[in-house]
Amino acid sequence: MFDTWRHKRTEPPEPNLIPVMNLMMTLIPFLLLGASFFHLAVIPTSTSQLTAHDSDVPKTPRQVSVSLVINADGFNVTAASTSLDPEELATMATVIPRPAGGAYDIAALQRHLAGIKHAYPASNTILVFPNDDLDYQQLVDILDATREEIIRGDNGAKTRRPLFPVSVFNRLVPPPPEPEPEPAEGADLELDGGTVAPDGAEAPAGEGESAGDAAAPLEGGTP
Amino acid sequence: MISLRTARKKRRAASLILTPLLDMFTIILIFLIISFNTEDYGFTLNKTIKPPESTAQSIFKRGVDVAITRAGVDVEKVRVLPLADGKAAPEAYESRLAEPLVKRFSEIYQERFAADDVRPDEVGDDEELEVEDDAILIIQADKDLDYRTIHLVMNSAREAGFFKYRLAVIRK
Repeated sequence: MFDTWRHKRTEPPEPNLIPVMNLMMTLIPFLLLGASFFHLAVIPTSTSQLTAHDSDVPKTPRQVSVSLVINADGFNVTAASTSLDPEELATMATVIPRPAGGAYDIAALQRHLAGIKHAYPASNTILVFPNDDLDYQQLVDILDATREEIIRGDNGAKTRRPLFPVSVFNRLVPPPPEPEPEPAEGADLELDGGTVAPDGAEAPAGEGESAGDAAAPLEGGTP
Repeated sequence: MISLRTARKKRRAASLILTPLLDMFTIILIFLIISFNTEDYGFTLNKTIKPPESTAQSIFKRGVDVAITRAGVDVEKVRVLPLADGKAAPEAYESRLAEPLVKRFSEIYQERFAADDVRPDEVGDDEELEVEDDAILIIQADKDLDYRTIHLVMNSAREAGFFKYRLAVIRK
């Protein structure tokens, strides 16, 4: 009997956890309301911008702007620059076909763009010409591939290397119908608008003159 | 007569063990604190939209919220252009402009951004074009929509003076 009494006297008092529990029960609903279970991000893009005067593109010798036409049957990549030779630009042009019924070869596109970026590191603008039937998710996948490449290191760490982070959307205006048999003046394709400077760090010029560039004019002008 | 053992039992009864419960709450609390979002971008994801997934990491910037669902295009939570299963009227695709959208975007632009801005067609040869940086559209669209509809919205916004867009995506 005395043993029990002595034991009871020496036992440390149990902490009262009820106020802590009350605090938790208050905090948890509050935090649940503000919790985000998925993380949103944004892809910055722009469209060509109509200007009333010539584009004031800086004459940058080691800089190109890339045009990417996304057709139903693949990618058509061309490059343009204010100072490079057409022969040199032609080496950067390529067609990446899409297998019938298959997916776009985004990896090949990224490899090609990485090569251009490696040769001209100051370049950062890509003009994108998606086709109308392209899925939004596919478009985002392609933009991801053109914006940056993710390299996994030996230790599994990811390194992001920027490629062409400035994406400018454009649209190819369908070519006009075939002219009448008799020769008509002005049958050549004309630009549907003025000179356009894309919204971004650089404003490429001379796109329409690039080798292998799209045969149709741009909507809203030429970038 | 009550024995000593019975009396001891009575004294020890009804002690709730709260420690495991407290441990669990602590873990939940830490998880919620980590995922707590203190930033308010004035942007709410439309519940009917499944945005595409992306590796993008750019953070939000305040802008005009545009939601393109299969049922219609909402500008700042107000339905402006109805769509039929994600498709607009054929004449809108032909002209590449949706008049209700152009009208609404123009109103917003005039109301908020046009005060210090110069429209591109008003720029003289010797003047520099300055576009208001805040005139940004935040576009949230369903990942299954085709580009035709998204371009229709962008082109209508461009007509009203918006040249910059942020495509809302879910981070992979």
